[in-house]
Amino acid sequence: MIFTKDMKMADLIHKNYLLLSIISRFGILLGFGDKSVEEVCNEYKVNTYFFLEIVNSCSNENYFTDVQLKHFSIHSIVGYLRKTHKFYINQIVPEIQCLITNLYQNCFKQKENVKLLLNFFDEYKNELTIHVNREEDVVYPYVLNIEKAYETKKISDELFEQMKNYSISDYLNEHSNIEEKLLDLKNLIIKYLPPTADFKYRNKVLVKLFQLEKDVNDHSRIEEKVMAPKILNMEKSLLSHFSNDNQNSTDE
Amino acid sequence: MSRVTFIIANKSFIVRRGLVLTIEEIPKLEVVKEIDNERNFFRDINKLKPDFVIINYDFYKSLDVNDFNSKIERSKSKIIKLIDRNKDEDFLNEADYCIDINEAKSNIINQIKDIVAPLLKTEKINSTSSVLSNREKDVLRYIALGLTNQEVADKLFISIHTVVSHRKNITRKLDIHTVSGLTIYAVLNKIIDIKSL
Ligand SMILES: [Fe+2]
Ligand SMILES: [Fe+2]
Repeated sequence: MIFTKDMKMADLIHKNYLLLSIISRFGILLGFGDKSVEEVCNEYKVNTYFFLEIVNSCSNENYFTDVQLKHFSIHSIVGYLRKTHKFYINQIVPEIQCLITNLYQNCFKQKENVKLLLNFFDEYKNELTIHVNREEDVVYPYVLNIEKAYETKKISDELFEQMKNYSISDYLNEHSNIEEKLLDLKNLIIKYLPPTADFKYRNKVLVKLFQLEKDVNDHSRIEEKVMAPKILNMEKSLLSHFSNDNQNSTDE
Repeated sequence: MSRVTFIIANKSFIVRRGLVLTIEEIPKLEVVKEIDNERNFFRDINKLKPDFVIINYDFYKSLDVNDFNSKIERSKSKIIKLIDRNKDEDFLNEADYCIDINEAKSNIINQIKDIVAPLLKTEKINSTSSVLSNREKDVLRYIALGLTNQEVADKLFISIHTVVSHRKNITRKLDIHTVSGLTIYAVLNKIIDIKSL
């Protein structure tokens, strides 16, 4: 089902409860009564169309999100990606860590096995943090600068120099797969950790892992299929524009 | 009970739905994904590893690649090309099977049944294949201890090529992809002792 601006915001959640975390990411709080998506978005100063693109792409496997999302500025896309990073680092990852710790504390028979899982997730957390920091500190500032230069048709010497050594295609090459470890952890818990009586925490951990994996997948897709191609085009146009400019200072 | 899985790559919604309905009329067959654009094609195939991919000329053309087979190698999927005998389309000669879109329903169903028959027959044999062989356990032990492929090869007096292919099989059988994941598997299954880490 494709969500539209005239639907009730509450119905979105009824249809797909995984949208809860995405709605909060936009700063929208529950308790919106029967207001429509558009009304709620306006109230929270969220771009309705951007919001719809994100929720639709997260709810429909076959939704043509990549094409549509390209109409939005890098500024809004990066804004959303940053909020998603915050959700990972400040919320869901600590939650999972806490659940695995609970699993550890509540099991008697194979404590040393669960300890391994705890360490494994710790490793994952470090990997994810490094990945996120690199994007926050290097990649996102770079793409925002590129967009600014593209729009104002003004480029600082610094950025021009940077573009000679770095391009978003480098990002695509180095962009690491942060889903693999999650997949492994899921399999270890589902298939290989011997049966434990305390299924409660085990199930809870799994549910969260599935949620995180899905979210990370959607997130990486936006980075690779929306943000990067857009920047690639801007880089090309900037390079051709300003390389000519350097030779014979044309107007415009 | 294991199922035979399909991915349908086709730009036409109507054709995709038609194929899904037809395929799912046959017991144990399941379409795991419909792909309507080329963007994530290879990623999806290699991730979902369907038994069969049904692809038509139009879609294949838009992929614009000449090493199609090597790009889907990891999935081990078999290719069924969907052709239209009224059009003169020549593509993907290496395809494993071929179905003509103009055929009557019963013919299409019978063709698909023939195509999947070998998989359904070998189901029982395959179900035990997730058990590692002794050699694979040896390799896994050294990987878990942190040895490189070359070091494992030296220890076991086998070529590095063989080590790599053992590793591929281990990962495929266990569905575990990282070294730290394999290490935990090895401990859980007493292939290595936790104290040796
Ligand atoms: Fe990211
Ligand atoms: Fe990323």
